[in-house]
Amino acid sequence: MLTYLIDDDFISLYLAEHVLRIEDFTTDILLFSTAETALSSLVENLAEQVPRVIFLDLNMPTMDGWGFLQALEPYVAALLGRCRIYILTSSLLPSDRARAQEYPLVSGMLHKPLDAAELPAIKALLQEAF
Amino acid sequence: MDIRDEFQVVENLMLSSSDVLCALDASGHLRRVSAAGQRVLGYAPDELNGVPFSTILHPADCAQALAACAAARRQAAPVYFEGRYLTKAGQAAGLAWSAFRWPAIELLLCVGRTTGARPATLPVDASASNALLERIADGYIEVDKNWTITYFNVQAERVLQIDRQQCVGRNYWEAFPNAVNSRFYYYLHLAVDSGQPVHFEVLSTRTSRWLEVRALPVADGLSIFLSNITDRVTAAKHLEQLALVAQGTDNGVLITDAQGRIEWVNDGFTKHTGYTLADMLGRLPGTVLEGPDTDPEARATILAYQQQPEPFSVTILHYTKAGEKLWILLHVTPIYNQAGELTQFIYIQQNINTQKAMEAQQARLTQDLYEHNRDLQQFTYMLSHNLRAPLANALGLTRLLPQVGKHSAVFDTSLSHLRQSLEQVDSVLHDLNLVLSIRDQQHQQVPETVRLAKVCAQAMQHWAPALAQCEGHVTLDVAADLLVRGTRAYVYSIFDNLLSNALKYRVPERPLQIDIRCVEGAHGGASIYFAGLGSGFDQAKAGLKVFQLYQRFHGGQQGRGLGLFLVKTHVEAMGGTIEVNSQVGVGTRFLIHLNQH
Repeated sequence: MLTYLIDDDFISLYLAEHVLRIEDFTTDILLFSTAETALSSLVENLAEQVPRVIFLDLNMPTMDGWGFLQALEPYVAALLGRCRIYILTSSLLPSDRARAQEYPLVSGMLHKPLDAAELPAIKALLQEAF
Repeated sequence: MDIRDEFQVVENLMLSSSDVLCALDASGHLRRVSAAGQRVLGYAPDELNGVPFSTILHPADCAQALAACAAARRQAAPVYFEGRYLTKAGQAAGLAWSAFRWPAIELLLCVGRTTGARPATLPVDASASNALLERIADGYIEVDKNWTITYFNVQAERVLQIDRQQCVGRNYWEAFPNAVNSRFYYYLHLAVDSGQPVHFEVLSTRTSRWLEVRALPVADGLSIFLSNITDRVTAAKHLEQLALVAQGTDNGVLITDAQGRIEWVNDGFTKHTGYTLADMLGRLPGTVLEGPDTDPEARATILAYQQQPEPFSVTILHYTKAGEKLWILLHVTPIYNQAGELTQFIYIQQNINTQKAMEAQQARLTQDLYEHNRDLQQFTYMLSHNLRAPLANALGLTRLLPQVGKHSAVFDTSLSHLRQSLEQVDSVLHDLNLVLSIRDQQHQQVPETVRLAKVCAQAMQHWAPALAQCEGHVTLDVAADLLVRGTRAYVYSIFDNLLSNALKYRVPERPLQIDIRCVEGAHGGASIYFAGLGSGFDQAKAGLKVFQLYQRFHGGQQGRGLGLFLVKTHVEAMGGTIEVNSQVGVGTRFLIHLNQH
């Protein structure tokens, strides 16, 4: 199950990757330190293989999480049902949660650190949709 | 009247009459000219005695005037002629003259009046002297030693508003019982008892008019000249009253003529503005009191209102003599005389500096609150992202560690990451402390004189090794004597952070080029241009966030998003401004203005 991790914080990436591996969430993980590189990878492979799930950080320089979601707008139709996005943020701001609900691709909002206890439910949801 | 008395009457007339009154001797030379005449003609007292009448006549009118005088000498009835007089300064104005022969004293009396005033109708049987007494502008009354009224001219009828038929032949105090024991009564008796002329002003209760009275003792009684000065006295009383009120108030009061030139100021005015009456006399208030920051609109409003007959109020910024600002609520009242002519303006200045200061303080408080609020939002953001992010990582790592083997590579890496995360937490707390302390100090810092060239050189020295390492080149153009008002540490921090950023965001493919130029600003102070050829950032996207805390616009680099926040905070703490201009791939330019030393 192809999974993208997008975060400019390398420790956060490292941590999330290892949690996913230890919890047997998936082994097929791609790490991106900028939203731009993740976006181009996604668009390039739009026809063949899109990630089943993306864990997206919000607070990043140049293109932040919101900018990434905005940039995905043209591909929403192509991605719906194939790819789910979970926002993974250290933010505790309620306004971020409200804003996240405006994007149809966003399935949920997770607070850092990624909690192993939440993963089985996410996995079940992803498999169900297959 | 005997001859001596007739001389006396002429003498009195010369003193009291408001006409140009000339006494000519047989040879046509001036023997006496009235006091009023001397003033009109511009000569000193007695300067005209003995000069030919033609001296004070316009040359073109001389022949006609002298012919008229010759005619007057040959007949009993007065001769009228028109002729321009000539002042000492050479100015001419038309007068209507009447010339009378006064046989008893062998003088010819010429009375000149402004053209247009028609001669009073004369009693047909009047003698020459009576004819003259009828023609003077003043009221004239004669009483004998028993206070019996022996003469009462037509002007006296007007001034006292009474028919002379009711007076002539009666005792003065019976004819005017109201005057008994009045000021009038006292002064007339004083003149009779002392034998000296008296001059006084009195309110006639019967007519409610103010009279100016001159009384001259003559052999068989008293000659009394009266004129109605109600208008003048009323105006003067009004001013006096106003002045009295004005002196009692803390407000500044100034009085101008109809043209707006200052005639009088009160003590309050001097107290508030530092200008005395001597400073202000004859000047226009605006030209003295207004200054560079006076709103031109307020000035225009005053000029517009002054054309209107109603009083008005305007708020305006004035300047004291010492050049300090003085906020004034100005009440202006135009004053009109009985004829409806504008005569004066009365300005009352209310000092509203305190009120203005309070308004300014309120605005400052609002600004402070706004800034606090903004800071709070930034702290929330800081706590939410920048403090919580490394904490979350640390938390996650502590959960991960027990699940991996103690001797695995993951364990070691995780432990190292844990330490890094905790160090990040620590540095964020340091930043928080720094930001808070800048805010607190902002209002306590005593401004000092900072030499830009010196501070800039110190910052340069700090970054010299790093610059050398990347083969960076700095063009420095800072005038050695350029001084600003601020805090040395802040100025250092500004250069330090800008240099740090320039190094951090350089483009590795090309040599680093930094231009620093400090010049004297257009309005004093200093303008600092700082240009770094580097990666730049997308200004449209960054918008107002450029200077916010923990905002970063470059991926990959180590920036925490603190530098430009500090730069802006320091610039603003010193009362300066900062602008930024950046282009991706080209570089970033900063323009900073600092205040004059």
